[in-house]
Amino acid sequence: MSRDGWTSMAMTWRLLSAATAAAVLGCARGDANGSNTGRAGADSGRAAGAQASAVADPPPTPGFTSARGTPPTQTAAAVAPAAAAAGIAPPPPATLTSRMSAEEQVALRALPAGPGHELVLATCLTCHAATMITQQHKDTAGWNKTVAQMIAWGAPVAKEQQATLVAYLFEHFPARAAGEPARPAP
Amino acid sequence: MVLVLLNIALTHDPLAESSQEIILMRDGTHDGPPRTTSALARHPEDVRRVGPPVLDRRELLALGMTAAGALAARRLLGQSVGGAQPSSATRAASGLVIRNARALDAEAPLSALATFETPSEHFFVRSHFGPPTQLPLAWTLAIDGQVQRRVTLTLDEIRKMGAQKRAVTLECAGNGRGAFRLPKTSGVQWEYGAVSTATWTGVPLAALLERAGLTSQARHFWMEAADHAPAGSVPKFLRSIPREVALGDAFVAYAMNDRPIPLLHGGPLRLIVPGWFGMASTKWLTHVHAMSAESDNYFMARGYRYPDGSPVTTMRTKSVIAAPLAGQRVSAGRLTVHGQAWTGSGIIRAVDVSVDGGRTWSAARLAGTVQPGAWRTWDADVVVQRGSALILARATDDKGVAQPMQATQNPGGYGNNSIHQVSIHVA
Repeated sequence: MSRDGWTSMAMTWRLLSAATAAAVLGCARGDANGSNTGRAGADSGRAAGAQASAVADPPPTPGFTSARGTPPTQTAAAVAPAAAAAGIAPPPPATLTSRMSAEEQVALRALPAGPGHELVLATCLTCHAATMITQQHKDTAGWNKTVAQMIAWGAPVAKEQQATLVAYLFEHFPARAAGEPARPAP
Repeated sequence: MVLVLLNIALTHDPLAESSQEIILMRDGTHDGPPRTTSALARHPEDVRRVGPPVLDRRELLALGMTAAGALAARRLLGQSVGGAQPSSATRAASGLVIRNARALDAEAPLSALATFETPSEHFFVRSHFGPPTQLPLAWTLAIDGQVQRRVTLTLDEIRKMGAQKRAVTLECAGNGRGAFRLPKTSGVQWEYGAVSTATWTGVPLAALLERAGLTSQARHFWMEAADHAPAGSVPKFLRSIPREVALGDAFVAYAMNDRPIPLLHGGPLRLIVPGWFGMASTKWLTHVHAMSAESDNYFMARGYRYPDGSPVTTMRTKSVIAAPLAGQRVSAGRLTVHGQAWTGSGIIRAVDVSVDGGRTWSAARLAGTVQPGAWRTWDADVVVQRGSALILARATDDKGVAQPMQATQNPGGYGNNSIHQVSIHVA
């Protein structure tokens, strides 16, 4: 593909992503109770039911349990009011989770609430799962480098949002001290 | 149209990809009568009708887990496994361990590495972007560039060219990255299970290239595939291999463990480069470009480099303990330790096992015969005393190079071949 082709693709993506971000953030307020508006047609009820039960009763996922501890078992909706008070992330918008795997939905809960949280949902998670973030730990320079690379590759992050994003990533996923194991020795 | 694109952009998940974009056959091939996966995608309940849990996993992997990805992954990795009757080859394996949910990166449970051949449903899964979201009905492989004539071969034509069967061990270059004690680290935090062995069936790449006739300028072979990033100007994953490797034992596989290659494992066509880390074994292969220079792709020029700038190529000498498992309780006395050992550029000459943290070692038995490119199964009878025991396994290759206790760290977290240590309780 020509350079122009790539540029135009990237532009299209930015526009789409901006719209997506707006949709995500909009739905975060209007549709945070886990109902499933992302699906159309006669299957939606059934599918939504399956999704809801997936959220309510997450299966054991060795990857997460070994790396992050046992995931919480409450539904996102059930914990929402208490969550805000406790500083736990609000439930992600249903439009974002409607077609995510159960594992990915569990992974979302490892993203704590706080300034930058919605930005992560709207910008990073359009392309990859939260696990890609939560398993990594970097200092500010490291996260800056990563975010800059992602922006160069088309992540829809405005210039003025970059610092917020990096601050969030560093606050919650900071580099460990040298020599500290990534996880307890087997 | 925009709404559709928006929906894809918003929820893009190769696992849960909707049916409109993917048409593939039940057996994982794509060149026969199409079978839409929409029914599975839209009716999670239908997946359960496929069969008992073990069959579910196989079926869903055969389908590439594209449809009903959420459910498939859940069943594959979650509750279905606990109650499942383990297949005879898996030794009570407990399912893949997800390291990244999208694109899916998952490692084999170590218990599944006890057998020489890793069942496809327990073979580790890794790609940068996940499986391609659009598959042609008739898959073809095109060979062009520095060739006398451009050729395009169908799957059928390739199958008719031969059926070379070979067991090959693939290991992710980042296997063990999560065990490196790095203060900061990028990439998938693999522990020990991003390595597996399958029996691959295919045609030597050299035979395919012969059809096109190489010019003297053809020195590097760029392997283009059907996958791509979900968005943005992310470069494609497009690596190249040098001529001596391409004309050596690299081959294009169309079957894995005697079945069509599941989509998640690179089907319907996957390059296999024995001895090299897995990133060289390009999944979803569509084009071989014969070029005069190495690929300048990001994943060649920037990714997969050691700190001195040298490229990550062949696997390092390494071993993994598949039994006992970390934290396991065993009885004092005699204990059989077993696992696998492999190396990229030679053969495994010895494996030694220690049950006292490395103070004393005893030689393990090597099972089977040497199969270049494949690991060697080993076992050792040891005696363990009451208390806790730290079991170590150390592989040595035919040049006398043994695994280090602690491999040199590198920022990319590549090639961690530190000696595997397993701590157990002895009662």
